Amino acid sequence: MTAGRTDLLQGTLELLVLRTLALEPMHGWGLAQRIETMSGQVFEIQQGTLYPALQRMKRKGWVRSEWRQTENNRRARYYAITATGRRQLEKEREQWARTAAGVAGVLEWKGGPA
Amino acid sequence: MRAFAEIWERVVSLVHGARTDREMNEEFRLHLEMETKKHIDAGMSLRDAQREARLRFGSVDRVAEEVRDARGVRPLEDLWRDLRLATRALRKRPGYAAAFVVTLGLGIGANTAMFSVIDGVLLTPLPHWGSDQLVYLRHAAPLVGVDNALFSVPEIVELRDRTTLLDEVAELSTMTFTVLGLDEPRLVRSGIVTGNYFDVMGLRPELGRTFTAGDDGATATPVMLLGYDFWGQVFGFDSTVVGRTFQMNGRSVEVVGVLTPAPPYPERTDIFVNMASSPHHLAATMTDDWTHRMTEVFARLPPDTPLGTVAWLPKSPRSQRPCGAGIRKPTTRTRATISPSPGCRTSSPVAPAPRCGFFLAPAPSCCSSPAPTWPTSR
Repeated sequence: MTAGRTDLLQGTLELLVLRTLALEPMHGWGLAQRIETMSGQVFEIQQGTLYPALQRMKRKGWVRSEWRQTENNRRARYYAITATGRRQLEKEREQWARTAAGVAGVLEWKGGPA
Repeated sequence: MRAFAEIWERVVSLVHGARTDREMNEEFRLHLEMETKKHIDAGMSLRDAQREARLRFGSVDRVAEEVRDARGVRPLEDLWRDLRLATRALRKRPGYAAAFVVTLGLGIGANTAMFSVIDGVLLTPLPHWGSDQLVYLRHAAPLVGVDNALFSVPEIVELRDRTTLLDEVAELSTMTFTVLGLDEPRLVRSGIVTGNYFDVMGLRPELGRTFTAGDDGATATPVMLLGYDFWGQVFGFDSTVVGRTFQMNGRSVEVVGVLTPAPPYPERTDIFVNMASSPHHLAATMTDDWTHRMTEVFARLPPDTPLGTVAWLPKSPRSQRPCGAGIRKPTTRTRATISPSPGCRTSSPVAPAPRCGFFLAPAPSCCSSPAPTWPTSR
């Protein structure tokens, strides 16, 4: 895990987790699988980093957790997004869109020297 | 409210720290098992699958540590761990531990002592009433290099007669007498005072009475006032002591009262007696010799006298007498300046004047020849 990748994920990991949990409550491993699938395997996240992130988001009130049974009758901690979390997701989504648009604008600049 | 909830959560996390950690480990184990199963399903051997799962998860220990950080209980846990570590380390090095304990002990002790002094000196009020008007007099004799002399009785008489600046002038001198009639003969530090002394000092009796003008003079009945501490130490705070008579200097001296607790000032004395109890104070050396300076002088200023007032004591007719010849009167003019003296605003037993110093600075002496004589009696 290089420092560069960590930094990249730090900013976006919470956004990705919130977006994924907005689908349905899931446990940590399930969350990791979903993010990898949904990103088209682009993000090879260090799965362990999900847990501190989830803990931080819990303290901020964006997610809550509870113990439930898995399909295989195992006990697992399931994480679910809260109302505050959904508002945060919208905020971060807009911010991301602005950032992406800005970066895209620079990359796809077709004009002459600014 | 939110802050409170957060603190509560931290405390709960700390108390249930073991359980929280157990649940966290369970969560991680499940994660790794599921990840391993995924790789086995994809065709890996059990060993490879386990290795791959761990690789993808990252260091379990580090993740656990980061989760604990995120939980926000680290400061408290760290404190507990630091304490245990410190205890172990100190036990291993007793010499260092002793130095540590002694340093702390001395530091705390010194601060406590300092506070006791500040409390006694600055915070606890004095028993003297009207201390704003109370002044303590000394005078200087620069020609012989003495800048802080006591007074002789003729000087005090002059001072009392010739200045309007002072309302009341009281005298105190100290001697040690043998007192008979107690359980055993006892040397007692005595303050010999004028009848107005306690009024000037603003001190009340705890029992009986203090002295009055009626106790002045050679023919007065010898009387004694016990200091509060002496009363406790020798008589065990027995109030029937008032009215008893003890033998002192070949006379019977009656106890008329007990003084209220007060800082011993300017010297520690066990009892106070009037002049009639002390043959020395009735003798000519004491009453007539200008240089026999063994008396402390306290006085009361008229109300609202500002500090810095300068009074000129007028020339005395007696000062026309030639100098020398046993009885000398060296001053022609004495300038009195009321000035605050350092440390005078304090109230502890170790402090100088309760309120402010009254300093008599003499002008050049008449005895410029043959020798300017301002010797002190001590």
